[in-house]
Amino acid sequence: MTSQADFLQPPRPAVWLVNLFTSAEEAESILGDLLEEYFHLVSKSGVAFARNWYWRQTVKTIAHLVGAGFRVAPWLTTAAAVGGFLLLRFVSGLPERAIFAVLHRYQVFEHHFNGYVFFATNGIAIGHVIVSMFVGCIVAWRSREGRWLLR
Amino acid sequence: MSGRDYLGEFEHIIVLALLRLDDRAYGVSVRQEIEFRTNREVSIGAVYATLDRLETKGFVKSHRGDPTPERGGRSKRFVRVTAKGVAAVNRTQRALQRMTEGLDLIRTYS
Repeated sequence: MTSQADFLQPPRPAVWLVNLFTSAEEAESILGDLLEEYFHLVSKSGVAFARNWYWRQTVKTIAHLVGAGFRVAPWLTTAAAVGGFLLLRFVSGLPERAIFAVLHRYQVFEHHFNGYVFFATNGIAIGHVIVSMFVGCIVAWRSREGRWLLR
Repeated sequence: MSGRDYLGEFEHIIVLALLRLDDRAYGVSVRQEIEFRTNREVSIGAVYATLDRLETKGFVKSHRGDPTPERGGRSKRFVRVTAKGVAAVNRTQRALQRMTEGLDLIRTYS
């Protein structure tokens, strides 16, 4: 359950994403700045508005940092993105195979038809999202390494 | 003189904000100053990416402040314009002035 104190904090996935795309030194200033403005907005305009603002800032900030990473280390960032794409192509079929293996193993089709339909449609989409996020994290991590190397 | 001696549009805006804020210039104050004066939403990432570029060129210098509780115990990164940065902003301003001299921008293009 989410407590009141947790609810007032900025969205955790957004904080995690900023951390992922920045070096430790950069994260200290950027996350500190975001938190300072976030709390100011919470008291001025409410939590919902502040959380929206935090997400907007996170998305734009990541886009700029990736762009800056590309300018500083174009080959390494490109290699990370291409490597990530190839990895995605390589592993994208795995969730599908795993889901169908589980469905057949427990004979879901015969016993729980609705469950079968749900997993056969949404399960694959969820699997793809998980794989894409996993690959995205690897790309971000490699891009960040590149920026550190060239500093 | 190379293109590197001039400032890009956003670099120019950031350096002017730093000069206005003087020793109070850090991520939040720079972002808010730009939003207030230009009426355009700026991301903190854009500010930091530009500050990094300006620091690499030697136009600005940064140092860390003390950690504060309202920032979750994180420190501020204060930024100041160097003499080289002031020269670059003057050069860019003069170039823009020379380029707009004699142009009646409001009457001709509005």
